[in-house]
Amino acid sequence: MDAKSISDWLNIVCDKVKFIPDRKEIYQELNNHMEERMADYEEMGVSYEDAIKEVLAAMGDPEQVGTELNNSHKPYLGWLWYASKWMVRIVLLLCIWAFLNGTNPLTAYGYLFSGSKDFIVYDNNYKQAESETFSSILYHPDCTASLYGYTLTIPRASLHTYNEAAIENKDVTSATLFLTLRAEHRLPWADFPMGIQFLTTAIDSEGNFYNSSYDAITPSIYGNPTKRGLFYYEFELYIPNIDTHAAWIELHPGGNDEDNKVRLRIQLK
Amino acid sequence: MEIDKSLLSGNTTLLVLSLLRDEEKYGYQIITELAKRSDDTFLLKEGTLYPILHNLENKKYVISHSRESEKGRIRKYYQITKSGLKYLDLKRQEWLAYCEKVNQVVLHPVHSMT
Repeated sequence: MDAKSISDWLNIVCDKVKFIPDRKEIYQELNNHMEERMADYEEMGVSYEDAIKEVLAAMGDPEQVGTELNNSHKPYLGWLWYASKWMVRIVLLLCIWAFLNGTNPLTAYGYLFSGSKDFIVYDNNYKQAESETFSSILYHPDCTASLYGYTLTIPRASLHTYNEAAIENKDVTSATLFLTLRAEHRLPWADFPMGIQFLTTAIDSEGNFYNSSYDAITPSIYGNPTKRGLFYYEFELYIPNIDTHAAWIELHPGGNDEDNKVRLRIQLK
Repeated sequence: MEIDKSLLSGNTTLLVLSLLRDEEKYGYQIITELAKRSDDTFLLKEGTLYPILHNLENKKYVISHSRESEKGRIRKYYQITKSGLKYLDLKRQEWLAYCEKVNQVVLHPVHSMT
């Protein structure tokens, strides 16, 4: 193919280079070369038309040059390089996102502590309605346990007591314990500890036993995973029908096996 | 004297690296220098210099960087690397050995056939 002008020649070369991102630089470099040669011819007093002819002849066959350049600008290596650069960026952004926003909206079904927002603190003996007395006590239990590489803590718990004496005209008091169970892991890719949601059982100071939700026999522990951070998962669990006389309640995350000695105790009184 | 172009083709890498040995140069400079030093014997098609340079860069024998000239032109300069110098040394030895062998044949007095 014969090139009529410098840009013509350059376009034929660049069309042969399959890795498009490199074309611009190649175009610039070769264009510069030809412009310098043109300037030299101009100084020598050669007419513009003759100079163009000379330059194009000196540069050689653009198809051959383009093919050879394409060989040294391998597209698969180039694309691989581009892809890896973008992968690094995306992974970095995901990490930052995970750090800034630990809440996974798909699993954020908190009963009491919704999402990453802070717990709504009710005053003790808050009168919810004329016929119903409601009280709530917030705890920050100081307990830690290890289970399968996870460090388990309870950042907060809250005991809700309803006194329905006024409506039923009887002494009926029911209490529910809500709690956030946090499972931390050193590895961001650690498996989701689903067992915590289904296998956790509990026992209180009065000897009452609370089944896991897997057993589905009342009284049981219910809950959902609510937060996913880079190094942790959080669950919100609740235990209805707690014995109001209980001084403490002890959680057995991972089940009630005899081998399993993992205990998390929440002091209630 | 006109020289057979095919003699040049296998050794352009050696020529280009030799020209870069002492200082960094841009493409057009390499071409003009090559013509000057060889008394216009080695007039390679100028476009074909660039695939050679880019290949050398891929092999890390040269590195490049762009700089603006006084006239505002952005030039891409090529600089020889350590491994480039090693490679050049190897190529020179090859070339010298090759010349020696050719000379042995070409310059040696012809023996009478027996």
